[in-house]
Amino acid sequence: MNHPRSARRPLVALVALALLAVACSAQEAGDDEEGGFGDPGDCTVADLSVSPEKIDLLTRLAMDFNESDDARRGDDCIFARVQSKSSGAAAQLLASGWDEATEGPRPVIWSPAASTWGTVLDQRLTSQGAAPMTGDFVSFQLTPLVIAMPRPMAEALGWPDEQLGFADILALSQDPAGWAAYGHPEWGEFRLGKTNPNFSTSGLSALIAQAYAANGKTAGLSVEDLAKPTTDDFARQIESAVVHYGDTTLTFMNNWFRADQRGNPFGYVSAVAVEEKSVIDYNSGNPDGVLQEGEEPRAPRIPLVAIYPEEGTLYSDNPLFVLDAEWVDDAEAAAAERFIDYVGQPENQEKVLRFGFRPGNPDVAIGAPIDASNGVDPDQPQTLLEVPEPEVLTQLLDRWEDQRKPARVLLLVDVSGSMGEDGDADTGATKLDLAKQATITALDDFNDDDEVGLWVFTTDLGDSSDPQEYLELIPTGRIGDVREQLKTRIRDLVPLNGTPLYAATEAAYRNQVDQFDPTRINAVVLLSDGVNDDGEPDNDREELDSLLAAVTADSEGQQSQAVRVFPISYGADADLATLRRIAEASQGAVYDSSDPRSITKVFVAVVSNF
Amino acid sequence: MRRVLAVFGAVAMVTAAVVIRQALDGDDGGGGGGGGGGGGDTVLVCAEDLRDACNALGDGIEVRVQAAADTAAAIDDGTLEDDVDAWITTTAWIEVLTSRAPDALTEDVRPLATSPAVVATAPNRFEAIESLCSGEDVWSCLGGKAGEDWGDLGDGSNSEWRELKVGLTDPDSAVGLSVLASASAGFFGNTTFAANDPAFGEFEGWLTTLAEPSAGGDPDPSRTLATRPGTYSAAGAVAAVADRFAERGVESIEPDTVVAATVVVVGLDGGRLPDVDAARDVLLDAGWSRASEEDLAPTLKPGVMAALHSLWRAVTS
Repeated sequence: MNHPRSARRPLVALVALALLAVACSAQEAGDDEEGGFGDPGDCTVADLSVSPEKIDLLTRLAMDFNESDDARRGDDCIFARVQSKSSGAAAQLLASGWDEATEGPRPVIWSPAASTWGTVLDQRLTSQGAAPMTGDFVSFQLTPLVIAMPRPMAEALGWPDEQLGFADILALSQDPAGWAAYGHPEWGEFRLGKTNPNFSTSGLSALIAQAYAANGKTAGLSVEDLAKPTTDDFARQIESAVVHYGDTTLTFMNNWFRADQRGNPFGYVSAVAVEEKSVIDYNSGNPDGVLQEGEEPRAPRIPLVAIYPEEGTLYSDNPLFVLDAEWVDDAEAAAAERFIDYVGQPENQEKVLRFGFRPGNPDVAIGAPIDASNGVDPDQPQTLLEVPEPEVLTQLLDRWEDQRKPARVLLLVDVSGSMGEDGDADTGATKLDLAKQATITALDDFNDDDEVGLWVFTTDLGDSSDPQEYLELIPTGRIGDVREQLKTRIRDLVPLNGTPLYAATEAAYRNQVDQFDPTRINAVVLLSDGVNDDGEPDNDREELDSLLAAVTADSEGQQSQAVRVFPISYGADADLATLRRIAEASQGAVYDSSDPRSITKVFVAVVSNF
Repeated sequence: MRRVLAVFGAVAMVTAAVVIRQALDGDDGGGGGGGGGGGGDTVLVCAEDLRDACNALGDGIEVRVQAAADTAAAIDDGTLEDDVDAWITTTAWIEVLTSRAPDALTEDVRPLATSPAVVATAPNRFEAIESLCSGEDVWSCLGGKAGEDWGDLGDGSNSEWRELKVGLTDPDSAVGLSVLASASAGFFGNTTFAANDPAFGEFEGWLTTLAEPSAGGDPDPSRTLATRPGTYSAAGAVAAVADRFAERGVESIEPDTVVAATVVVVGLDGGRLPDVDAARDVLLDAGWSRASEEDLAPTLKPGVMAALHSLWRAVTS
C-alpha cells in the first residue's frame, strides 16, 4: 500500500488475531461446495475463495458475469469461478501454503466475512518474512452482528420500545426465575446461542461486544479492562447461559427453525448472536441462507427480531481482496478487477440487497428485505465498536478459554469390523487408525475442567456368555485427570464386529441424561462408519424410533435437560441420513467426514461446540 | 558557476514549458502530450482520492496514483521520479509545498474543480446536530462536544447513539487536508490564524479529541456514514463527495467559515501540463464546480497548512 497511515491500526490490531487464524482450521458448513461451473476454456480464470454465508450469492453473480459482456473484451474473455472456504481456514491456507490438490484452486480474489481476516493473513505472512497479500479492498457487502430473538421473547423484554443489549442478556441469564420473571414461566430458563470465537466471525464479534459492554466503552478496550474482576464475572455469567458453541451460526439457525416448525422455538435457545442477514434468511423461511434443490422457503411460525445491542456492535464487511500473490499474474489481477467492478454495479448490488446484505455501493439505497417485515431495522445500528488492539484480542481469546461454559462429553466410538478398512490408501492407515489419531488430538482441545468419558460400541463385546453392545472404557470425569488414560485406551482400540448403532447411542444418551449437569454443556460425540447392524434387522425401526423419541422428548421440554448429540458420519458407508436425524432430534449437528482423511479437521469442528 | 547555470537552465525550461503550453492549449488551457522534455507519454502523479478522475485521462498520459502526502514528501525530499511532469492534487498541498519546498513546483497551475468542505451528518442525525449546534459554528460545536455521550447532550433523547464521534477525511489525501483546514477554521472562527496563535495549544487538545475516531485514516468518512451507520455521528468531507450519499440519508451542514477543496494540475520542475480536461469533466459530473483562477488563492497563511498537517500527524500517532 502506498498509504501506510491508513493501515496502521488494523495492522497493529491483528497481531493477536494471528493466533486466531491458527486455530481456525475447521471448515464452516458448506465449505468446498462445487458451484457447478463449467469449463473456462481459454478464458482468463479469476478464482474466488469466499466465506460460506455468501457462496450462493457470489456463485450466481459469477455465473451471470461469465455470461455478460463485462466478461469479454475483444477476443479475450474472463471466467469467474467460486469456491467456499471459511474465513479462518482460508487465512491459514494462504499463509501456510494452499494445496490445490486438496483445497481447490488458489484464489485470485479472497472474500472472507470480515476484513480483519486480511490483516490476520498479512500479519502471519509478515511474521514469516513474507510479503503481505492483501491491501486496499472493496467492501462488497456488509451486515452487522445482532442478537436474534423470537419476537414474543423480545417483546417480553420491552422491545421495540426499550433499548436492549448484553446487559439485559446478563440480567436474564442470572435470574433464577428465568423467563418467569417476565411473565413467561412456560419458556423456562434463558438460553443463549453463541459460536466459538476461535472459529466464527460472529462469535468473535460477540465476544468483543460483550467485553465492551462490561466496561461501558465503545472504543479503547484495554488489557486492564479485561483484567477487572467485573469484566471476568460479566463474561462468565453470559457464557453460563450458552447452550453450546460451534463453528457456524447456521447450526443454531437450522435447529431453531426445526423447533419452530414443530411449534416450539422457545425451548432450544432464547437468543443467538448472529449476523443481521441470518435473521432475514430465517424469517424468509430459509434459515441457512441456501435453498437446496427441491427446497422452498417456508415462513417460520414465530419470526425472529434483530436486537442491535445498545452497547454497540461490529460489522462483517465482506472485503474482496485481489491477492498480491506469486500465483496471480497481471492478466488474472486485471480480470479480478473487472469482476469486482461488475459486482459493484448498482444492478448487481441490488442482488446483494435481495440476499439480505447491505450493499457496499452506497448508490444503492437500503430497502427490502432489510426492513421491519423481516425483523430488522435499516436505521440500526446506531453505535459501532472499535476493533480492539492485538494484545487485547489475544487476551480476550485466552480468557474466553477459561470463561467459556465447561462441557461434559461422552465420546462414543464405533469399533465395528468395517473400521479396519482402508482409510488412506497412500499411507495404509485404516479408518480406525485415522479416527484414533484424530480423537487423541482433539482431547488436547478440551479444557482441563471439562469432563470427558469414552465408550466404544460393536456387537459381541466382553464376556461371551453375556455379550454387550457397548462398553464404558473410561467413566466421564475431569479430563485434566484422565486425559492420558483416555489416550491410552483409544490407542488400544481395534476393529471388531457389528454396528449396534441405535442401541449404543440410546444407552450413551440416557447415561448423559442421568448424569446431567446444568452448569455444563452436556453432549454425546458419536463417531460411526456404518448403518445399524446388530444382527437383528427386524427391530431396527423400533430401535430407531425409540432413540429418536427419547432424544426429542428430552430436548423439547421447557424444563428440558438437553443433551446434544454430535454425530460424525465417518467414511463413505456411514448412515449420514440417520445420523442427521439423531442430531436434529437432539438439536445438535451432524458432521460429514465421508473422506476419512478429513477426520482430524472434522473433529476440530466438533470440539468447537464445547 | 554551475549553480548559476542550473538556475538559468531551470528558468529556461519553465519558460519553455509555459510557452509550449500556451501554444498547445485550447480555449481552456488543455495541453498536449509529450513530457519530461522528451518523447513518449506525459507522466502524471494523481492523488489517490482523485483516482476516478485521473482514470478518465486518455492515451499519451501515464497516470501514477499515490497518496497526496506521499507525493508531497517525495517532492520535498527529492525522491520523486525524474520523469514526472505534473501532479493532480488540491491547492492545500500546494500550500504545504510552497512552505516546505518552494522551488519544487512550477507556477504552472491550472484550476480544475472546487467543492466546499462541509460537515456531513449520519442518517437521521441531521436535525439533532443542527439543534445541538444551533447558534454556533458546526465545527466548533462538534469539536467541543466530541467524545461526550449523546445522553448528556441536547435533550438526552439520543442516548442510543452513545459517544459523539466525528470522522475526518484522511488529511494525507488531497481533499482531506482541505477538510482539516475547514475544521481548524471552525475552531478559530477565521482562516487567518497562525501556528503561534495563543489559542493553538487549546486547538491541539480540541483536534486530538476530534481526530481520535478516524485517527487510523479514513479516506472517505462520508461513505462510512452511508455504509457503516453507527461509526460516526458526522464527518468532515467536501460537499461533492458527501452529496453522493444522500440516497442513504447523509445530509450536509455548511460551516460558518467556508473553506473549499480546489483540485488543480500543477507542473513539476521540468515538466509540462498535460490535457486533463477529461479528469475535470469527471469531477464536474460528480458534483464539483468548475474552478477559476480565483480559487487558487491560498486558504491559510503561509506555512499554516503544513503546520496543520504536521499537527494532525502528531495527535494521531
